[in-house]
Amino acid sequence: MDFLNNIKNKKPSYLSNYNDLIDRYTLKQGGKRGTSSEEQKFEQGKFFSTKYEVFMYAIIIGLNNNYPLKLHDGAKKDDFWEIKNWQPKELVDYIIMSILAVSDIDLNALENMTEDEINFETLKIRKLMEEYANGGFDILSSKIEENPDFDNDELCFINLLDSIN
Amino acid sequence: MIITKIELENFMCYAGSNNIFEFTEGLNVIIGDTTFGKSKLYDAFNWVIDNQIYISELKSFWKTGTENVREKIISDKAKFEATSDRIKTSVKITTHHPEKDYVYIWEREYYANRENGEWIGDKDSKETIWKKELSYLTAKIVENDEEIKRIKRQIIPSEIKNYMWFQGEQVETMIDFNDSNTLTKAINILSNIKIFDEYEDTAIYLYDAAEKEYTKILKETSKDKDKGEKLDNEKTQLEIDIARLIDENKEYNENLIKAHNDSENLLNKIDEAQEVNRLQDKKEIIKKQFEKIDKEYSKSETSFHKKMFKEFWILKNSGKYAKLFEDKFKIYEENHYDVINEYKIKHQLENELISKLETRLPFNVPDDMYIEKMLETERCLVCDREAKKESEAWLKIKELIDRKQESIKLKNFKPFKNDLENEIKSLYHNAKSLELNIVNVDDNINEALEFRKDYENKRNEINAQLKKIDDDIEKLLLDTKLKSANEAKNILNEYRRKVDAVNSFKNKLERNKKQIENKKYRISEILQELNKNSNKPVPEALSDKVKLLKDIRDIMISTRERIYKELIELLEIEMNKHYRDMTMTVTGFRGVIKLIDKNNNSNYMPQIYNEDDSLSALMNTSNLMLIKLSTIMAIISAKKDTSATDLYTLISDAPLSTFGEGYILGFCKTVSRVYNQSIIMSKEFYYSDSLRNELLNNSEIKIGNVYTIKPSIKEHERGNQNNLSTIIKKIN
Repeated sequence: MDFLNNIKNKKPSYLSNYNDLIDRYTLKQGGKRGTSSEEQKFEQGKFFSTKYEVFMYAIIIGLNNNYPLKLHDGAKKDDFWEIKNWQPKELVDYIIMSILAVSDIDLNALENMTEDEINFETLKIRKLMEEYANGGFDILSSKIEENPDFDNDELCFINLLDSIN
Repeated sequence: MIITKIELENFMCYAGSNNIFEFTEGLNVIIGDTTFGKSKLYDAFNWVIDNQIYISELKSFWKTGTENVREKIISDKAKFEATSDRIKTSVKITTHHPEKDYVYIWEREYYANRENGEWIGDKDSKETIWKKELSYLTAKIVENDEEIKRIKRQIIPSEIKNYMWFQGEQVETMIDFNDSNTLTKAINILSNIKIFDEYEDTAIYLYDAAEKEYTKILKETSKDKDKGEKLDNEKTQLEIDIARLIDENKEYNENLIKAHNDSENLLNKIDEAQEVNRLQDKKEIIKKQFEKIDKEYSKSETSFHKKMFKEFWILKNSGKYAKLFEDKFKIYEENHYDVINEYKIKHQLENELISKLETRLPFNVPDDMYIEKMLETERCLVCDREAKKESEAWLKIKELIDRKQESIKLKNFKPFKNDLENEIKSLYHNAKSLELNIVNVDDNINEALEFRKDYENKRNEINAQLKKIDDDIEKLLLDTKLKSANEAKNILNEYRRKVDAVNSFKNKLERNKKQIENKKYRISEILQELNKNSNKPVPEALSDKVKLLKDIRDIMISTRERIYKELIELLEIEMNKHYRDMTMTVTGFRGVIKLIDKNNNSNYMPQIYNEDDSLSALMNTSNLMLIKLSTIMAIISAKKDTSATDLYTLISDAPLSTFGEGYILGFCKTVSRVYNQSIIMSKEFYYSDSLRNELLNNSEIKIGNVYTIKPSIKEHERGNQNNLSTIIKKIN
C-alpha cells in the first residue's frame, strides 16, 4: 500500500465563490499564453504563480489560525490539479505532514487497514486539508473585505502568516 | 509719378462707393488694428495694377479669375444688400505726373451675377485707363496697348514693383541673403550698373571676333596646312573647354557660397547643438543603465514573491507542526516497533519449532511423493518396517507433510498489512530538513528586502540622474531655441556636411582654375606656333585691332569692376546711414553693416560688425529686417538724383511688424526722406497715442495724409460680414 501516493492522487476542492479571489492573485492561463499584457501578467502573478500556490497558502493560514471550516455539502465546488503535481515537493510533504499532525488519524491503525479502509482515511485527510484551506480563504477574504487596499503592501501575504489567533 | 487717390467700391470689406483715400508727397499712413482692412487696401493697389491679390495663407499672388479670388473680392454687405442680380466692385487709382502735369486714372472693375441665390463671379475683370491733362476738364480713355504699357511703367515697373510694393512678411524673401545673387539682382534692377555689363559683354565679343579673325588668317597662311588645321582645332577645343570650366566654376562658386553661408549660419548654433548632443549621448548611456537596473529591480520584485515558495517563507510560524508530528511519529514508531518485536519473538518460537522438526530429517527428505506412498502402503521405506494406518509410526510419517505446511504458513506471516514506516519516516525527515529554513525565514525575508531596497535606491538614483539630464537638455533647448535634441543632432550632421561641401567646392574650383590656366597657356603656345608656321605676316592693321580690342576689353572689365565696387561702397555708406537713422532711438547694440565680397567682386553680402571691427554674432530678426530694408532704401537713395526710382511710390503693408517700438519712428523718418512718396499701412500707431502724436508732429518726418480705418461692426459680430463696411477717417 502506497499511503502517501494515495493522498497525493487526490484532487482537493474549494468553494467556487473563492474563484474571484484566486484569479485576482494568480497568473491565469491567459497570462501564460500571452493573451494578457505584460503588466497584467506581472500584476496577476506578482504574489502567486498558480492556483495550487494560493491553495497551499490558504491551508497554512487555516492551520496557523487553527481554523478548519467545513465546506457545505450543497455548496458549489471546484477542484484542480492532483496534489502530486504541486511544487515544491518538500513543501507539499510538509503540508501533508502538518495535516496528519493536527488530525486524529492513528498512524499505527493505518498499518492494519484494508485498502478500502485506507482509501477512506486518505479521503478524510483530503477533506481536512480542504477545511483548513477553506478557513484560510475565509480569513483572507475577510482581510480583503476589511481593507480593500490590503494588497498594496507587498508584504501583505507574508505578514498574514503572523496573525495567529 | 505720385499716387493722389484710391477709390474703392464694394472691394472686400470696403462696402459701398464712398471709400476714398487721398495721398500727397511724403509719408502717408493708414492706421488700423489687425483685421481692420489694411491688407485689403494693399490688395486693392495690387489688384488694379496686376489683376491679382496676395493671399497670405498661400503666400502667393492669385489672379482675379482663379477659384481663390473671383466673387470673394466683392463685399459681403454689397452682395447681401444687392437689389439687382448683377453687382460690381471696382478700384480706381489716380496718379499725377508733376513734371508733365498729366493725370492718369486707372480703374479695374469686376462683376458677379446672382444665380439661384448664389453669386457667381465673371471669368475676369476689366481695366480702363484714362489720361487727363490738368488744363482740360475731360479725360479720355487710353486704348493704345503700347501707351498703356508705358503708363504702367511710369506708375511702377514690374521689375521694381517687388522692391517698392511689399508686405512686411515679403521682405524676408525679397532680399534673401542665403541667395548669393540677391544683392546683385537688386542692384541690377535699381541701378544703372547693367549698362556696364552690356559694355563689358560687347568689348569681350568684339575682342573674341577680332582674335578669331587673326587666328583664321594665321591658319590660312600656314606653311604646313595640316599642322595649321590641327593647331586651330586644338585651340577651338581648348576655348570650348575653358568656357565649360568657367561655367562650371560659376556653379561651384554659387554652391561654395551657399554652403559657406549655410555653415556660417549653423556656426552660431553649433556650440549649443554640440552641448545638447553631448548631453543626449550621456542620457543614452544613463538610460541603458536605468533599463538594466530596472529590469533587475522588476526581476527582484517578482523573485521576492516567488521566494515565498522557493525559500519556504510560507512556512514562517509552521515549525510547530513538525514538533506535533514528531510527537505523533514517536508514538507511532514505538507502537510500530512493538508490533515488530512481538512478531520477531513469535517468529523465533516458530523457528525453534521448525528446527526441532528438522532434527530427524531435513525438509523435503524424503520427497512428498515417497511420503504419500509410505502412508498409502502403510510401510516405512526408510527403515523398511510396517506402519499401520493411524499407528504411531504411520502418524510420524504423516507429520513430515504437516511440518512443511506449518513452515510455509510461518514464513508467510507479516506483522502489518501496510508497513508505512518508510513513508511516515520520509515526512518526518522532510520536516527535519526544512527545520533550518523555517528558523531562518525572518532573516531571509529581511535580507531579501534589503537587497531589493538597494536595487530600488540604485534605480531611483539613476532615475534622478536621468531626470536631471532631461531637465538640462530641456533648459538648453529653451535657451537655444532648438526644437529638439534631434534637431541638434541634425544641425551637427548638417554642419559637417556643409563644411565638407565647402572643402569639396574649393578643391574643384582650384582644380578648374589650374586647368583654365594650363589651357590658356597652351592657347598662347598655339598662337606662337601658328605664327611660326605662317608663310606671311598677319596684316598690321589686324594685329593692331586685336591689341586695341584686348585693351578695350580689359578696360571695360576693370571699369565695370570699379563702378560696381564704387556702387557697393556707396551702398554700404547709404545702408549704414539708413540703418543708423532707423536705430537711432534704440540704446541697445546696433553695430555697423559691411558688405563683404564673398565671390571675387560679384557677390556681396551684408554682415554686422562690432565697433571694434570684429564680426558680430548677433543677428536677430529685427536686425535682419532692418538690414534688408536698409538695403532696399540704400539702392534707391544711392541713385536718387540719377534714376527715376525716386518717382515711384513705396507702398507697404505692415513693414514694421517685426520691429520694436523704438525702430518705428526711425523707419518713418528714413522712409519720408528716401522716398518721394510712401503709403504705409500700420497697426503700431493704433495702439500708441504718443507714437501717433510723434508721427503727426515730428518735424523730421515729412508727413502726408494720415487716415484711420475701422470696421463698422464690432469684432464679436464679425462672424457674419453681411453688415461689414469700413469707416475711413482722415486725421490730419
